[in-house]
Amino acid sequence: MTLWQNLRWKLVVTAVLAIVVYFVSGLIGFPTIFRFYFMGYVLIALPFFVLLDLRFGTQARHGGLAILAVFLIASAILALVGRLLPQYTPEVEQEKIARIQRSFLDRQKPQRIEALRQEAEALGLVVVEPGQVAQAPAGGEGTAVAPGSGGGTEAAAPSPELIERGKVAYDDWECYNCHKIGGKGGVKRRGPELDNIGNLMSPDAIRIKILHPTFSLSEGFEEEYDKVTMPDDYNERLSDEEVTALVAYLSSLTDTTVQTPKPFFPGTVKEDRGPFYEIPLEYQKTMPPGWWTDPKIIEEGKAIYEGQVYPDVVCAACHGRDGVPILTGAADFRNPDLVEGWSDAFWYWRIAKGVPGTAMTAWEEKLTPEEIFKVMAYVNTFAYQGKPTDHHEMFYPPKAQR
Amino acid sequence: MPDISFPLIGNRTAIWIVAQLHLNFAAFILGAPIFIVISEFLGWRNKDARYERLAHEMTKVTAVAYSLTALMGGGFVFMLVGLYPDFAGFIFPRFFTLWVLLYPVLFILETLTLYTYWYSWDALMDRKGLHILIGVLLNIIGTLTMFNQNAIASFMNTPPENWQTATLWELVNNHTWWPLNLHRFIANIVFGGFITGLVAAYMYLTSKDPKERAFYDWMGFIGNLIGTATFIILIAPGYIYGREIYAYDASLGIYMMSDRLSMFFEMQGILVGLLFLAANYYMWLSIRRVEGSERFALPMKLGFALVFLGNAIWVTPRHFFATMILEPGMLPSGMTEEAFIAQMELPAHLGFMALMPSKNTAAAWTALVTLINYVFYRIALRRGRITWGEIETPAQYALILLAFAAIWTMGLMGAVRSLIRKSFHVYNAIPDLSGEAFTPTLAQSTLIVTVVSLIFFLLITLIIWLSHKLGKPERKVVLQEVHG
Repeated sequence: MTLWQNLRWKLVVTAVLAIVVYFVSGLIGFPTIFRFYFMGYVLIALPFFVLLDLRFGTQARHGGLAILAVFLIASAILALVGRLLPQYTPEVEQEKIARIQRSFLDRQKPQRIEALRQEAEALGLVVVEPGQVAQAPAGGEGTAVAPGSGGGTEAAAPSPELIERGKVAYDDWECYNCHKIGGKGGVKRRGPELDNIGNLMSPDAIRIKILHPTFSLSEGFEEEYDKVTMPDDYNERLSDEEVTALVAYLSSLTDTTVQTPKPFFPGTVKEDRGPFYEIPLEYQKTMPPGWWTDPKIIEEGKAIYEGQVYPDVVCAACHGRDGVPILTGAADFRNPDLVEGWSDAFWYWRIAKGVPGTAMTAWEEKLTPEEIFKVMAYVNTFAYQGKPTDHHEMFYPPKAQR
Repeated sequence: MPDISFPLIGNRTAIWIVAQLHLNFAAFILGAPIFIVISEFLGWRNKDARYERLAHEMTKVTAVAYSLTALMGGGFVFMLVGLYPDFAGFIFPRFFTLWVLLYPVLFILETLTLYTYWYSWDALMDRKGLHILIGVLLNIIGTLTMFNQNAIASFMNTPPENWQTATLWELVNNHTWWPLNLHRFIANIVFGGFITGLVAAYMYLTSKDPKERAFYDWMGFIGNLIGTATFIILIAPGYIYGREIYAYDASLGIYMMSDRLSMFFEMQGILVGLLFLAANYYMWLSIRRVEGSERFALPMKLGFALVFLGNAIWVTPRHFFATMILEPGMLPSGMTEEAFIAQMELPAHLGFMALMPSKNTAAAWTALVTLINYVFYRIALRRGRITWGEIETPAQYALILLAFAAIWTMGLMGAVRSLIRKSFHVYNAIPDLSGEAFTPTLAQSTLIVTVVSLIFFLLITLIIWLSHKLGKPERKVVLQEVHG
């Protein structure tokens, strides 16, 4: 077979196939670059199929040189392909890394100082606190920004600069991997679109969700929620300033034209998923001061929880005497992420009114508000290996609504 | 202490090159003995001198390569301590038992076993069982050595959450230790198989003696068979390893497959396509020399078309830009972001083509075509006759290309494994504050991988030349006498 005989029909078939591939892929909806890419594959196949029908001898001339040539040609082609494929500018990532590392090192600063202090003390040196030498300048480094304060007063709207910083944090921490805003983000739907999240969650609820992902979930993402797809270590990785900025940015997203899936609390049935932070005013109560850690209150709560006070109120029947849920779907109070995500009011409300559609009925007819708080104080200890522990004031519902 | 900067290429590139060279040699000296022992066993049981000779010749190469592996390993440790003293100060004490106690012991044991295995070959010719047992022991020690070092490498990628307080076992048994062990174990056999093909191709192309050419033709076939068969198996552990990286931290997986490292996987897809094409082309030439094999030509060509189609799907990216979202500088002037994305990205209804189910399907049918071609070869052999030493010379170049693609792929994927840590030495625990913590571009990375592959190629060529061309000629006589 001559080279032309080998080539002629293959040329025709390749040309026809390339044209068919180009037009058919266009009809399916592939953008032009993909159509050329598919055509390229057809064209690359041509020399290969020609090679298949070529005949060669079994004796090699200049074997050693031929070996070297194969390696050099293959090296050159691969290095060239590596250069031709799309690239990025490392400087963009370098800037991002600088921000992330600054934040990382800031968070490690107390541990480093402590390590240095121990080292110095071990060497017999006297450690002097900076404050003992000179007064720190007012408003200088070290001024704490309270979580949830947004860097300013509660009522004030976040500044455009803060929102912009939040957008940078959103990109730095690659939230776009799983979420979409403005249609941009991961192709696989791992997390909900966030375009309208500002209308669905309060800033404080957004903050809790970032720091404690098990706090809530969104419709259509139950499987991802169960797998804890959202990283649960942002409370360790992001600085307070970054979280505040991120919350400001996400709260500013109020595009109602995009269907952002509705967030809801775990365990609530569809009918019960009203506006996310709408706790009726009469249930917006807080734990009496000191009760979370008061041994007497906790003991009284335990008695109620275990059914020693009222025979028809036995929380342990579903939630377990030791906090290990007996009934499928019952809340697992041993999980600090779960209980720390509940405000006093939310927790009180769920016990008093129950959770519609679940076995959790309304207990307000059987228990007084004080008794409910006593049960809460006892249940809270499950998350801390039985130790009485303060339940931190969380940000839910928004303080402005109370 | 002042920061040290490696001249001309910088610290990262310097340690990258030496680490990858060490890994290439280590992969070979760990992978080759697995099938060397199997080959020796087959030769013994089937009374087939070719298997015995294959085992012997590859052990000869392994024995020489072993010293270079150690040299590279030593170089790597010296460079780590010199160029990254802070990190070395962190990692050595944490893995003291593994790195400073266990590793040297295993290394010495492996050295003793390898050289005992090599030098006792003739002495134990009449006690083959014992010799094979030494070979098995060599493999066990080698595998343990690899597991030992994998613990440190996998820890750097996926440290346990409580790494500060974790026990040594918890650090070792981190999330990706076993997936990495499994992946490397099989990948090493693939590598060993293709390097065997390379040795055979060298010898075939430079031999004049027909008997020698017949042997090296057969040896190349076996090398390709082992390399390709285990390469097909390797797809599954590779997938498992990737999944476990996702399971540990989805952002790492996304960084790898959809963000800055996505084009590295485009490159991997191209290389895998090249490997399958070269392996099947070799099989095509192997079948063509069998009498009466013409009837397989058409189905095999159809198979090649399927390999091209499968690879086209495998390599189809989600979009033709190298990051998850557009970054400054990527947008051509005068074009809106929306218009650019519409031109460069798969539309939503075709997005599935960029996801793993599509890629896995394409990979599965490419592997299936390869298996079917091997079945064709077996059928052809049953009806026709094969003359070893009479294969067309491009088959040898296909073997060389296979070895080259394997070396190159290993370098590229080694870079990916290391780069998923992003800007950390130990992910999320110890940041890399060197200023070189960013992900290098694919262009830069492929250049480094190419340089490493060429250095490795030159060294392995030197080893083959030393072990074969300068070998003692009487050895062949001994083998021929023993096995007829």
